[in-house]
Amino acid sequence: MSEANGKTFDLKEWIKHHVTDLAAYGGLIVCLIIFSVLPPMFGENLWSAEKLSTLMANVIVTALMSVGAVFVYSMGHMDISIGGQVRIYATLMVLLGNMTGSLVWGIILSLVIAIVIALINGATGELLHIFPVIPSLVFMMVLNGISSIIYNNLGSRNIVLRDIDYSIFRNPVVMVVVLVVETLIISYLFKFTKFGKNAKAIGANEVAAKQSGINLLKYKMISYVVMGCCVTVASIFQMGYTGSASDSTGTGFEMDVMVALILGGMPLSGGMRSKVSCAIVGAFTFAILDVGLPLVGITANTTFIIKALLFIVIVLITCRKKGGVLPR
Amino acid sequence: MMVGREIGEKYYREDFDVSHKPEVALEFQDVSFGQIEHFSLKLHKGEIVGFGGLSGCGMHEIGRAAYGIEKLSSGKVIRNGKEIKTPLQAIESGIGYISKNRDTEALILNGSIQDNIVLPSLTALSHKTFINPKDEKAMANKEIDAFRIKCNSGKQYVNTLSGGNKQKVSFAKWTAKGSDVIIMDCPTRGVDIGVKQSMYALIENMKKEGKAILMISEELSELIGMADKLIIMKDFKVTKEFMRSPDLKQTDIIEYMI
Repeated sequence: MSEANGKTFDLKEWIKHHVTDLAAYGGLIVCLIIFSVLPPMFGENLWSAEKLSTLMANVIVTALMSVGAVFVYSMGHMDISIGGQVRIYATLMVLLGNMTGSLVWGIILSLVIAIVIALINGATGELLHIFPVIPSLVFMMVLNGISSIIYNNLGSRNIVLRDIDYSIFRNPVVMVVVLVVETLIISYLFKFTKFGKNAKAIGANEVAAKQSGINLLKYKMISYVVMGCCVTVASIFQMGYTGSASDSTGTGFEMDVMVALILGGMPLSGGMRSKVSCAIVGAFTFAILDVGLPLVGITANTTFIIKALLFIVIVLITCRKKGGVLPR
Repeated sequence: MMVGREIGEKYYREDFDVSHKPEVALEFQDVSFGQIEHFSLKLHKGEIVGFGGLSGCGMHEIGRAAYGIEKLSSGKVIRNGKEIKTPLQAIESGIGYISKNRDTEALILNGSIQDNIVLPSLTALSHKTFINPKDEKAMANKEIDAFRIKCNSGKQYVNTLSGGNKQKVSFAKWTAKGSDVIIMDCPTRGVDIGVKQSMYALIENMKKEGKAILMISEELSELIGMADKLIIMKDFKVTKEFMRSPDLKQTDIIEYMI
Protein backbone atom coordinates (compact mmCIF):
# COMPACT_ATOMS: atom_id res chain seq x y z
CA MET A 1 0.00 0.00 0.00
CA SER A 2 1.47 3.36 -0.93
CA GLU A 3 1.73 5.70 2.00
CA ALA A 4 3.04 8.74 0.18
CA ASN A 5 -0.31 9.93 -1.10
CA GLY A 6 -1.62 11.78 2.01
CA LYS A 7 -2.61 15.19 0.76
CA THR A 8 -4.64 16.66 3.62
CA PHE A 9 -3.48 20.20 4.38
CA ASP A 10 -2.44 20.65 8.00
CA LEU A 11 -2.43 24.34 8.91
CA LYS A 12 -0.47 23.84 12.13
CA GLU A 13 2.27 21.90 10.29
CA TRP A 14 2.38 24.53 7.56
CA ILE A 15 2.76 27.35 10.07
CA LYS A 16 5.44 25.39 11.95
CA HIS A 17 7.38 24.90 8.73
CA HIS A 18 7.01 28.49 7.62
CA VAL A 19 7.40 30.37 10.90
CA THR A 20 10.59 32.08 9.72
CA ASP A 21 8.96 33.24 6.47
CA LEU A 22 5.91 34.48 8.36
CA ALA A 23 8.12 36.38 10.81
CA ALA A 24 10.13 37.92 7.97
CA TYR A 25 7.21 38.98 5.77
CA GLY A 26 5.26 40.01 8.84
CA GLY A 27 8.15 42.18 9.97
CA LEU A 28 8.32 43.85 6.56
CA ILE A 29 4.59 44.56 6.50
CA VAL A 30 4.65 45.92 10.06
CA CYS A 31 7.55 48.22 9.17
CA LEU A 32 5.75 49.41 6.04
CA ILE A 33 2.64 50.20 8.03
CA ILE A 34 4.45 51.86 10.94
CA PHE A 35 6.61 54.03 8.72
CA SER A 36 3.73 55.00 6.48
CA VAL A 37 1.56 56.03 9.40
CA LEU A 38 3.98 57.56 11.93
CA PRO A 39 6.25 59.94 9.95
CA PRO A 40 3.38 62.26 8.89
CA MET A 41 2.81 62.87 12.62
CA PHE A 42 6.34 64.32 12.69
CA GLY A 43 5.86 66.28 9.50
CA GLU A 44 7.78 63.75 7.42
CA ASN A 45 6.84 61.38 4.62
CA LEU A 46 8.52 58.07 3.77
CA TRP A 47 6.86 58.09 0.36
CA SER A 48 8.18 61.49 -0.76
CA ALA A 49 10.29 61.45 -3.92
CA GLU A 50 13.43 62.36 -1.97
CA LYS A 51 13.00 59.69 0.69
CA LEU A 52 12.00 57.05 -1.87
CA SER A 53 15.16 57.78 -3.81
CA THR A 54 17.26 57.36 -0.64
CA LEU A 55 15.32 54.18 0.16
CA MET A 56 16.01 52.76 -3.29
CA ALA A 57 19.73 53.54 -3.11
CA ASN A 58 19.88 51.97 0.36
CA VAL A 59 17.98 48.85 -0.71
CA ILE A 60 19.84 48.31 -3.93
CA VAL A 61 23.32 48.01 -2.48
CA THR A 62 22.24 45.89 0.50
CA ALA A 63 20.01 43.68 -1.66
CA LEU A 64 22.63 43.14 -4.37
CA MET A 65 25.18 42.03 -1.75
CA SER A 66 22.71 39.97 0.28
CA VAL A 67 21.31 38.04 -2.68
CA GLY A 68 24.80 36.76 -3.46
CA ALA A 69 25.58 36.24 0.23
CA VAL A 70 22.71 33.70 0.42
CA PHE A 71 25.04 31.18 -1.21
CA VAL A 72 27.71 31.62 1.47
CA TYR A 73 25.30 31.90 4.40
CA SER A 74 23.40 28.80 3.25
CA MET A 75 26.59 26.83 3.94
CA GLY A 76 26.61 28.18 7.48
CA HIS A 77 29.54 30.46 6.64
CA MET A 78 29.80 34.24 6.65
CA ASP A 79 32.15 36.71 5.01
CA ILE A 80 33.29 39.70 7.05
CA SER A 81 35.49 41.11 4.32
CA ILE A 82 32.49 42.40 2.32
CA GLY A 83 32.82 45.98 3.56
CA GLY A 84 36.54 46.08 2.80
CA GLN A 85 35.91 44.63 -0.65
CA VAL A 86 33.31 47.28 -1.49
CA ARG A 87 35.69 50.00 -0.36
CA ILE A 88 38.55 48.74 -2.53
CA TYR A 89 36.37 48.07 -5.59
CA ALA A 90 34.68 51.49 -5.40
CA THR A 91 38.11 53.12 -4.98
CA LEU A 92 39.56 51.22 -7.96
CA MET A 93 36.59 52.11 -10.13
CA VAL A 94 37.02 55.83 -9.37
CA LEU A 95 40.82 55.80 -9.72
CA LEU A 96 40.87 53.80 -12.97
CA GLY A 97 37.84 55.70 -14.24
CA ASN A 98 39.69 58.98 -13.83
CA MET A 99 42.86 57.49 -15.38
CA THR A 100 41.22 55.90 -18.42
CA GLY A 101 37.99 57.82 -18.86
CA SER A 102 35.95 54.64 -18.57
CA LEU A 103 34.55 52.65 -15.66
CA VAL A 104 35.05 49.35 -17.51
CA TRP A 105 38.65 48.77 -16.41
CA GLY A 106 37.91 49.38 -12.77
CA ILE A 107 34.94 47.02 -12.92
CA ILE A 108 36.94 44.27 -14.62
CA LEU A 109 39.84 44.56 -12.16
CA SER A 110 37.41 44.55 -9.23
CA LEU A 111 35.74 41.40 -10.57
CA VAL A 112 39.10 39.64 -10.95
CA ILE A 113 40.12 40.57 -7.41
CA ALA A 114 36.71 39.52 -6.09
CA ILE A 115 37.04 36.10 -7.70
CA VAL A 116 40.57 35.60 -6.34
CA ILE A 117 39.45 36.59 -2.82
CA ALA A 118 36.45 34.28 -3.15
CA LEU A 119 38.53 31.30 -4.24
CA ILE A 120 40.92 31.82 -1.33
CA ASN A 121 38.07 32.33 1.16
CA GLY A 122 36.31 29.20 -0.09
CA ALA A 123 39.38 27.00 -0.29
CA THR A 124 41.40 27.81 2.82
CA GLY A 125 38.72 26.90 5.32
CA GLU A 126 38.36 23.49 3.70
CA LEU A 127 42.04 22.79 2.99
CA LEU A 128 43.47 24.08 6.27
CA HIS A 129 40.55 22.88 8.43
CA ILE A 130 40.00 26.27 10.05
CA PHE A 131 36.81 28.19 10.72
CA PRO A 132 35.86 29.69 7.34
CA VAL A 133 35.37 33.15 8.86
CA ILE A 134 39.11 33.34 9.67
CA PRO A 135 40.33 33.85 6.06
CA SER A 136 37.68 36.54 5.56
CA LEU A 137 38.87 38.23 8.77
CA VAL A 138 42.39 38.24 7.34
CA PHE A 139 41.11 39.77 4.10
CA MET A 140 39.15 42.38 6.05
CA MET A 141 42.37 43.50 7.76
CA VAL A 142 44.44 43.35 4.56
CA LEU A 143 41.87 45.32 2.55
CA ASN A 144 41.57 47.93 5.31
CA GLY A 145 45.35 48.25 5.28
CA ILE A 146 45.52 48.62 1.49
CA SER A 147 42.75 51.22 1.59
CA SER A 148 44.67 53.25 4.24
CA ILE A 149 47.80 53.16 2.09
CA ILE A 150 45.89 54.28 -1.01
CA TYR A 151 44.15 57.20 0.68
CA ASN A 152 47.29 58.27 2.54
CA ASN A 153 49.17 58.36 -0.76
CA LEU A 154 46.36 60.31 -2.39
CA GLY A 155 46.48 62.80 0.45
CA SER A 156 42.70 62.83 0.62
CA ARG A 157 39.95 60.82 2.35
CA ASN A 158 37.59 61.10 -0.58
CA ILE A 159 37.98 60.75 -4.35
CA VAL A 160 35.51 61.79 -7.01
CA LEU A 161 34.82 60.71 -10.58
CA ARG A 162 35.74 63.36 -13.11
CA ASP A 163 34.47 63.65 -16.67
CA ILE A 164 32.43 60.43 -16.53
CA ASP A 165 28.67 60.34 -16.70
CA TYR A 166 27.55 58.02 -13.93
CA SER A 167 23.91 59.15 -13.86
CA ILE A 168 22.79 55.74 -15.12
CA PHE A 169 23.62 54.28 -11.72
CA ARG A 170 21.29 56.76 -10.01
CA ASN A 171 18.39 55.83 -12.26
CA PRO A 172 15.78 53.94 -10.19
CA VAL A 173 14.65 51.97 -13.23
CA VAL A 174 18.20 50.76 -13.86
CA MET A 175 18.54 49.88 -10.17
CA VAL A 176 15.35 47.82 -10.21
CA VAL A 177 16.20 46.09 -13.48
CA VAL A 178 19.69 45.13 -12.30
CA LEU A 179 18.35 43.87 -8.97
CA VAL A 180 15.61 41.85 -10.67
CA VAL A 181 18.04 40.31 -13.18
CA GLU A 182 20.57 39.43 -10.47
CA THR A 183 17.85 37.98 -8.25
CA LEU A 184 16.48 35.86 -11.09
CA ILE A 185 19.92 34.51 -11.98
CA ILE A 186 20.89 33.76 -8.39
CA SER A 187 17.47 32.26 -7.65
CA TYR A 188 17.82 29.95 -10.63
CA LEU A 189 21.29 28.84 -9.55
CA PHE A 190 20.18 28.40 -5.96
CA LYS A 191 16.91 26.60 -6.50
CA PHE A 192 17.27 24.68 -9.75
CA THR A 193 20.91 23.67 -10.01
CA LYS A 194 23.44 21.54 -8.19
CA PHE A 195 25.26 24.71 -7.04
CA GLY A 196 22.54 25.87 -4.72
CA LYS A 197 21.38 22.44 -3.64
CA ASN A 198 24.90 21.38 -2.71
CA ALA A 199 25.53 24.65 -0.82
CA LYS A 200 22.41 24.05 1.25
CA ALA A 201 23.38 20.44 1.90
CA ILE A 202 26.84 21.55 3.06
CA GLY A 203 25.20 23.95 5.50
CA ALA A 204 22.74 21.34 6.72
CA ASN A 205 25.24 18.53 7.37
CA GLU A 206 28.70 18.72 5.87
CA VAL A 207 29.57 15.10 6.66
CA ALA A 208 26.38 13.76 5.09
CA ALA A 209 26.97 16.05 2.11
CA LYS A 210 30.47 14.65 1.64
CA GLN A 211 29.22 11.08 2.00
CA SER A 212 26.63 11.83 -0.68
CA GLY A 213 29.45 12.69 -3.06
CA ILE A 214 29.55 16.46 -2.82
CA ASN A 215 33.02 17.88 -3.49
CA LEU A 216 33.18 20.27 -0.54
CA LEU A 217 36.17 22.24 -1.83
CA LYS A 218 34.65 22.84 -5.27
CA TYR A 219 31.21 23.92 -4.09
CA LYS A 220 32.51 26.11 -1.28
CA MET A 221 34.69 27.97 -3.77
CA ILE A 222 31.80 28.31 -6.23
CA SER A 223 29.53 29.74 -3.51
CA TYR A 224 32.07 32.39 -2.55
CA VAL A 225 32.65 33.27 -6.22
CA VAL A 226 28.90 33.80 -6.72
CA MET A 227 28.87 36.11 -3.72
CA GLY A 228 32.01 37.91 -4.88
CA CYS A 229 30.44 38.73 -8.26
CA CYS A 230 27.36 40.13 -6.54
CA VAL A 231 29.50 42.25 -4.18
CA THR A 232 31.26 43.70 -7.24
CA VAL A 233 27.91 44.65 -8.80
CA ALA A 234 26.84 46.21 -5.49
CA SER A 235 30.10 48.19 -5.41
CA ILE A 236 29.29 49.69 -8.82
CA PHE A 237 26.02 51.09 -7.49
CA GLN A 238 27.59 52.17 -4.17
CA MET A 239 30.21 54.15 -6.09
CA GLY A 240 27.76 55.24 -8.77
CA TYR A 241 25.19 56.84 -6.45
CA THR A 242 27.59 59.65 -5.50
CA GLY A 243 30.28 59.15 -8.14
CA SER A 244 32.85 58.89 -5.40
CA ALA A 245 34.66 56.63 -2.98
CA SER A 246 36.24 57.30 0.40
CA ASP A 247 38.24 55.62 3.11
CA SER A 248 34.97 54.84 4.90
CA THR A 249 33.00 53.49 1.95
CA GLY A 250 31.51 50.12 2.80
CA THR A 251 32.11 50.37 6.54
CA GLY A 252 29.91 47.86 8.33
CA PHE A 253 28.46 46.38 5.14
CA GLU A 254 29.14 42.84 6.33
CA MET A 255 26.96 43.53 9.37
CA ASP A 256 24.27 45.08 7.16
CA VAL A 257 24.22 41.90 5.06
CA MET A 258 23.97 39.72 8.16
CA VAL A 259 21.18 41.81 9.67
CA ALA A 260 19.31 41.97 6.35
CA LEU A 261 19.48 38.20 5.89
CA ILE A 262 18.36 37.55 9.46
CA LEU A 263 15.51 40.06 9.14
CA GLY A 264 14.55 38.20 5.98
CA GLY A 265 14.31 34.90 7.84
CA MET A 266 17.59 33.31 6.78
CA PRO A 267 18.73 30.60 9.25
CA LEU A 268 22.08 31.64 10.77
CA SER A 269 23.41 28.11 10.38
CA GLY A 270 22.29 27.91 6.77
CA GLY A 271 20.95 24.61 5.52
CA MET A 272 17.92 23.48 3.61
CA ARG A 273 15.60 26.30 4.70
CA SER A 274 17.82 28.97 3.14
CA LYS A 275 16.12 31.06 0.44
CA VAL A 276 17.06 33.92 -1.87
CA SER A 277 13.80 35.66 -0.92
CA CYS A 278 15.28 36.15 2.57
CA ALA A 279 17.77 38.59 1.04
CA ILE A 280 15.11 40.68 -0.74
CA VAL A 281 12.64 40.80 2.14
CA GLY A 282 15.39 41.52 4.63
CA ALA A 283 17.06 44.21 2.52
CA PHE A 284 13.76 46.06 2.19
CA THR A 285 12.99 45.77 5.91
CA PHE A 286 16.49 46.95 6.75
CA ALA A 287 16.28 49.91 4.36
CA ILE A 288 12.85 50.98 5.65
CA LEU A 289 14.19 50.94 9.20
CA ASP A 290 17.32 52.82 8.17
CA VAL A 291 15.40 55.56 6.35
CA GLY A 292 12.24 55.50 8.45
CA LEU A 293 13.55 55.66 12.02
CA PRO A 294 15.12 59.15 11.64
CA LEU A 295 11.77 60.34 10.25
CA VAL A 296 10.14 59.63 13.61
CA GLY A 297 12.79 61.48 15.56
CA ILE A 298 15.03 58.53 16.40
CA THR A 299 18.68 59.52 16.41
CA ALA A 300 21.32 57.52 14.57
CA ASN A 301 22.60 55.85 17.77
CA THR A 302 19.16 54.79 18.90
CA THR A 303 18.47 53.49 15.41
CA PHE A 304 21.43 51.18 15.84
CA ILE A 305 20.06 49.90 19.17
CA ILE A 306 16.61 49.33 17.73
CA LYS A 307 18.07 47.36 14.82
CA ALA A 308 20.10 45.29 17.31
CA LEU A 309 16.96 44.57 19.41
CA LEU A 310 15.03 43.58 16.31
CA PHE A 311 17.92 41.34 15.29
CA ILE A 312 17.80 39.56 18.66
CA VAL A 313 14.03 39.13 18.54
CA ILE A 314 14.13 37.61 15.08
CA VAL A 315 17.05 35.33 16.04
CA LEU A 316 15.11 34.13 19.10
CA ILE A 317 12.09 33.33 16.95
CA THR A 318 13.94 31.68 14.10
CA CYS A 319 17.36 30.43 15.10
CA ARG A 320 16.98 28.64 18.39
CA LYS A 321 18.37 25.14 18.62
CA LYS A 322 15.64 22.57 18.92
CA GLY A 323 15.38 21.22 22.46
CA GLY A 324 15.94 17.65 23.48
CA VAL A 325 18.88 15.53 24.54
CA LEU A 326 18.60 12.32 22.59
CA PRO A 327 18.23 12.16 18.82
CA ARG A 328 15.14 10.32 17.56
CA MET B 1 0.82 -7.73 17.23
CA MET B 2 3.46 -5.21 18.30
CA VAL B 3 4.23 -3.75 14.88
CA GLY B 4 0.57 -3.57 13.90
CA ARG B 5 0.78 -5.66 10.79
CA GLU B 6 1.35 -9.25 9.72
CA ILE B 7 5.03 -10.15 9.51
CA GLY B 8 4.74 -13.39 7.64
CA GLU B 9 7.02 -16.33 8.17
CA LYS B 10 10.25 -15.46 6.36
CA TYR B 11 12.77 -13.31 8.19
CA TYR B 12 16.34 -13.98 7.04
CA ARG B 13 17.22 -15.69 3.75
CA GLU B 14 16.06 -19.26 3.54
CA ASP B 15 18.39 -20.40 0.74
CA PHE B 16 21.97 -21.50 1.11
CA ASP B 17 23.07 -20.62 -2.38
CA VAL B 18 26.44 -18.93 -2.04
CA SER B 19 27.05 -18.71 -5.77
CA HIS B 20 27.74 -15.34 -7.29
CA LYS B 21 28.76 -13.92 -10.62
CA PRO B 22 32.43 -14.27 -11.50
CA GLU B 23 32.98 -10.54 -12.06
CA VAL B 24 34.74 -8.71 -9.25
CA ALA B 25 32.68 -5.66 -8.19
CA LEU B 26 35.11 -4.25 -5.64
CA GLU B 27 38.60 -5.28 -4.62
CA PHE B 28 40.84 -4.52 -1.67
CA GLN B 29 44.44 -5.02 -2.84
CA ASP B 30 46.80 -5.44 0.12
CA VAL B 31 45.30 -2.44 1.86
CA SER B 32 46.92 -0.93 4.97
CA PHE B 33 45.71 2.07 6.99
CA GLY B 34 45.51 2.90 10.67
CA GLN B 35 45.89 -0.35 12.56
CA ILE B 36 44.76 -2.48 9.64
CA GLU B 37 47.54 -4.12 7.66
CA HIS B 38 47.67 -6.02 4.38
CA PHE B 39 43.95 -6.60 4.00
CA SER B 40 42.80 -8.15 0.74
CA LEU B 41 39.34 -9.10 -0.45
CA LYS B 42 37.45 -9.59 -3.69
CA LEU B 43 33.75 -8.76 -3.56
CA HIS B 44 31.85 -10.24 -6.50
CA LYS B 45 28.63 -9.26 -8.22
CA GLY B 46 25.68 -10.95 -6.60
CA GLU B 47 27.63 -11.68 -3.42
CA ILE B 48 26.90 -10.69 0.17
CA VAL B 49 30.07 -10.53 2.28
CA GLY B 50 29.45 -9.96 5.96
CA PHE B 51 31.87 -8.54 8.51
CA GLY B 52 31.45 -9.32 12.19
CA GLY B 53 33.32 -8.74 15.39
CA LEU B 54 33.27 -6.79 18.58
CA SER B 55 33.06 -3.02 18.53
CA GLY B 56 36.49 -1.64 17.70
CA CYS B 57 37.65 -4.73 15.81
CA GLY B 58 38.28 -2.75 12.62
CA MET B 59 35.27 -3.82 10.54
CA HIS B 60 33.70 -0.34 10.43
CA GLU B 61 37.00 1.02 9.13
CA ILE B 62 36.98 -1.54 6.30
CA GLY B 63 33.62 -0.17 5.17
CA ARG B 64 34.89 3.40 5.31
CA ALA B 65 38.00 2.46 3.31
CA ALA B 66 35.86 0.81 0.64
CA TYR B 67 34.04 4.12 0.21
CA GLY B 68 37.18 6.23 -0.01
CA ILE B 69 36.71 7.91 3.37
CA GLU B 70 39.90 6.49 4.91
CA LYS B 71 43.32 7.53 3.64
CA LEU B 72 45.31 4.40 2.81
CA SER B 73 49.00 4.16 3.72
CA SER B 74 49.51 1.39 1.17
CA GLY B 75 47.50 -0.79 -1.17
CA LYS B 76 44.45 0.13 -3.23
CA VAL B 77 40.71 -0.15 -3.35
CA ILE B 78 39.78 -0.88 -6.97
CA ARG B 79 36.47 -0.80 -8.79
CA ASN B 80 36.19 -1.31 -12.55
CA GLY B 81 39.93 -0.90 -12.87
CA LYS B 82 39.93 2.49 -11.15
CA GLU B 83 41.31 3.35 -7.74
CA ILE B 84 38.80 4.64 -5.21
CA LYS B 85 40.26 7.41 -3.05
CA THR B 86 37.29 9.68 -2.27
CA PRO B 87 33.55 9.26 -1.68
CA LEU B 88 32.91 11.17 -4.91
CA GLN B 89 34.97 8.65 -6.89
CA ALA B 90 33.17 5.84 -5.08
CA ILE B 91 29.75 7.21 -5.94
CA GLU B 92 30.65 7.88 -9.54
CA SER B 93 31.82 4.29 -9.87
CA GLY B 94 28.49 3.05 -8.50
CA ILE B 95 29.24 2.46 -4.82
CA GLY B 96 26.76 3.48 -2.14
CA TYR B 97 27.47 3.77 1.58
CA ILE B 98 25.08 3.58 4.49
CA SER B 99 26.91 4.79 7.59
CA LYS B 100 26.17 3.30 10.99
CA ASN B 101 25.84 6.87 12.30
CA ARG B 102 22.48 7.37 10.70
CA ASP B 103 21.53 10.73 12.18
CA THR B 104 24.91 12.42 11.96
CA GLU B 105 26.46 11.00 8.77
CA ALA B 106 24.00 9.14 6.59
CA LEU B 107 21.17 11.66 6.56
CA ILE B 108 20.42 15.37 6.57
CA LEU B 109 17.89 15.46 9.41
CA ASN B 110 16.84 19.05 8.73
CA GLY B 111 16.06 18.20 5.14
CA SER B 112 13.11 16.63 3.40
CA ILE B 113 12.88 12.97 2.42
CA GLN B 114 13.05 14.07 -1.21
CA ASP B 115 16.15 16.22 -0.68
CA ASN B 116 17.94 13.32 1.00
CA ILE B 117 16.99 10.73 -1.59
CA VAL B 118 18.01 12.78 -4.64
CA LEU B 119 21.22 14.23 -3.20
CA PRO B 120 23.69 11.69 -4.64
CA SER B 121 21.83 11.79 -7.97
CA LEU B 122 21.87 15.54 -8.66
CA THR B 123 24.42 15.26 -11.47
CA ALA B 124 22.33 12.60 -13.20
CA LEU B 125 19.19 14.74 -12.80
CA SER B 126 20.83 17.86 -14.29
CA HIS B 127 20.00 18.82 -17.89
CA LYS B 128 22.60 21.50 -18.73
CA THR B 129 22.58 22.69 -15.08
CA PHE B 130 18.75 22.67 -14.78
CA ILE B 131 17.26 20.18 -12.33
CA ASN B 132 13.54 19.78 -12.93
CA PRO B 133 11.62 19.65 -9.61
CA LYS B 134 9.23 17.17 -11.24
CA ASP B 135 12.11 14.76 -11.89
CA GLU B 136 13.24 15.08 -8.26
CA LYS B 137 9.72 14.44 -7.01
CA ALA B 138 9.28 11.45 -9.31
CA MET B 139 12.59 9.91 -8.21
CA ALA B 140 11.77 10.39 -4.52
CA ASN B 141 8.17 9.16 -4.82
CA LYS B 142 9.32 6.02 -6.63
CA GLU B 143 11.57 5.13 -3.70
CA ILE B 144 8.99 6.17 -1.09
CA ASP B 145 6.52 3.77 -2.70
CA ALA B 146 9.06 0.97 -3.18
CA PHE B 147 10.25 1.14 0.43
CA ARG B 148 6.79 1.99 1.83
CA ILE B 149 8.27 4.92 3.73
CA LYS B 150 5.57 6.11 6.11
CA CYS B 151 5.20 9.84 5.49
CA ASN B 152 2.79 12.55 4.36
CA SER B 153 4.87 13.33 1.30
CA GLY B 154 8.41 13.64 0.07
CA LYS B 155 8.45 17.14 1.54
CA GLN B 156 8.26 15.83 5.07
CA TYR B 157 11.41 16.42 7.06
CA VAL B 158 13.49 13.36 7.91
CA ASN B 159 13.80 14.30 11.58
CA THR B 160 10.07 13.62 11.99
CA LEU B 161 10.43 10.00 10.83
CA SER B 162 10.85 6.88 12.94
CA GLY B 163 14.23 5.12 13.02
CA GLY B 164 13.05 2.49 10.59
CA ASN B 165 11.74 4.98 8.07
CA LYS B 166 14.93 7.01 8.37
CA GLN B 167 16.93 3.88 7.57
CA LYS B 168 14.73 3.29 4.54
CA VAL B 169 15.61 6.78 3.34
CA SER B 170 19.34 5.95 3.76
CA PHE B 171 18.86 2.88 1.57
CA ALA B 172 16.66 4.74 -0.91
CA LYS B 173 19.47 7.23 -1.69
CA TRP B 174 21.47 4.42 -3.26
CA THR B 175 18.68 2.48 -4.94
CA ALA B 176 17.60 5.76 -6.55
CA LYS B 177 21.19 6.26 -7.72
CA GLY B 178 21.29 2.73 -9.12
CA SER B 179 24.42 1.86 -7.16
CA ASP B 180 25.74 -1.64 -7.90
CA VAL B 181 27.85 -1.98 -4.76
CA ILE B 182 26.29 -1.15 -1.42
CA ILE B 183 28.33 -0.94 1.76
CA MET B 184 25.97 -1.10 4.70
CA ASP B 185 27.24 -0.57 8.23
CA CYS B 186 24.82 -1.82 10.90
CA PRO B 187 21.91 -1.65 8.45
CA THR B 188 19.20 -2.64 10.92
CA ARG B 189 20.38 -0.90 14.06
CA GLY B 190 17.57 0.86 15.92
CA VAL B 191 14.93 -0.48 13.57
CA ASP B 192 11.79 -2.42 14.47
CA ILE B 193 11.37 -6.06 13.60
CA GLY B 194 8.90 -5.42 10.79
CA VAL B 195 11.24 -3.01 9.05
CA LYS B 196 14.18 -5.38 9.60
CA GLN B 197 12.27 -8.09 7.78
CA SER B 198 11.61 -5.84 4.81
CA MET B 199 15.28 -4.77 4.78
CA TYR B 200 16.40 -8.41 4.68
CA ALA B 201 14.02 -9.08 1.81
CA LEU B 202 15.43 -6.05 0.01
CA ILE B 203 19.03 -7.19 0.58
CA GLU B 204 18.19 -10.66 -0.73
CA ASN B 205 16.61 -9.08 -3.78
CA MET B 206 19.68 -6.95 -4.38
CA LYS B 207 21.81 -10.12 -4.38
CA LYS B 208 19.49 -11.70 -6.94
CA GLU B 209 19.77 -8.58 -9.10
CA GLY B 210 23.52 -9.01 -9.15
CA LYS B 211 24.45 -6.22 -6.78
CA ALA B 212 27.47 -6.66 -4.53
CA ILE B 213 26.88 -6.09 -0.82
CA LEU B 214 29.33 -5.51 2.00
CA MET B 215 27.36 -5.93 5.21
CA ILE B 216 29.02 -4.88 8.45
CA SER B 217 27.08 -5.81 11.54
CA GLU B 218 27.39 -6.24 15.28
CA GLU B 219 24.52 -8.76 15.20
CA LEU B 220 25.86 -12.26 14.56
CA SER B 221 22.42 -13.73 13.88
CA GLU B 222 21.91 -11.21 11.09
CA LEU B 223 25.24 -12.09 9.49
CA ILE B 224 24.60 -15.82 9.80
CA GLY B 225 21.14 -15.29 8.35
CA MET B 226 22.15 -13.16 5.36
CA ALA B 227 25.82 -13.37 4.35
CA ASP B 228 27.28 -15.71 1.72
CA LYS B 229 30.69 -15.31 3.31
CA LEU B 230 31.25 -14.15 6.85
CA ILE B 231 34.57 -12.57 7.82
CA ILE B 232 35.32 -12.22 11.52
CA MET B 233 37.74 -9.59 12.77
CA LYS B 234 39.48 -9.07 16.08
CA ASP B 235 41.97 -6.34 16.96
CA PHE B 236 42.03 -5.09 13.35
CA LYS B 237 42.95 -8.51 11.93
CA VAL B 238 40.89 -11.09 10.12
CA THR B 239 40.71 -14.14 12.40
CA LYS B 240 38.41 -16.46 10.45
CA GLU B 241 36.22 -16.77 7.39
CA PHE B 242 33.01 -18.78 7.36
CA MET B 243 30.87 -19.77 4.42
CA ARG B 244 27.09 -19.68 4.65
CA SER B 245 25.81 -23.00 5.96
CA PRO B 246 22.71 -24.33 7.73
CA ASP B 247 24.99 -25.70 10.44
CA LEU B 248 26.74 -22.40 11.21
CA LYS B 249 26.01 -21.26 14.75
CA GLN B 250 26.93 -18.26 16.86
CA THR B 251 28.90 -20.51 19.20
CA ASP B 252 31.17 -21.50 16.28
CA ILE B 253 31.99 -17.89 15.64
CA ILE B 254 32.30 -16.25 19.04
CA GLU B 255 35.68 -17.72 19.94
CA TYR B 256 37.18 -15.91 16.92
CA MET B 257 35.73 -12.61 18.03
CA ILE B 258 36.75 -12.29 21.67
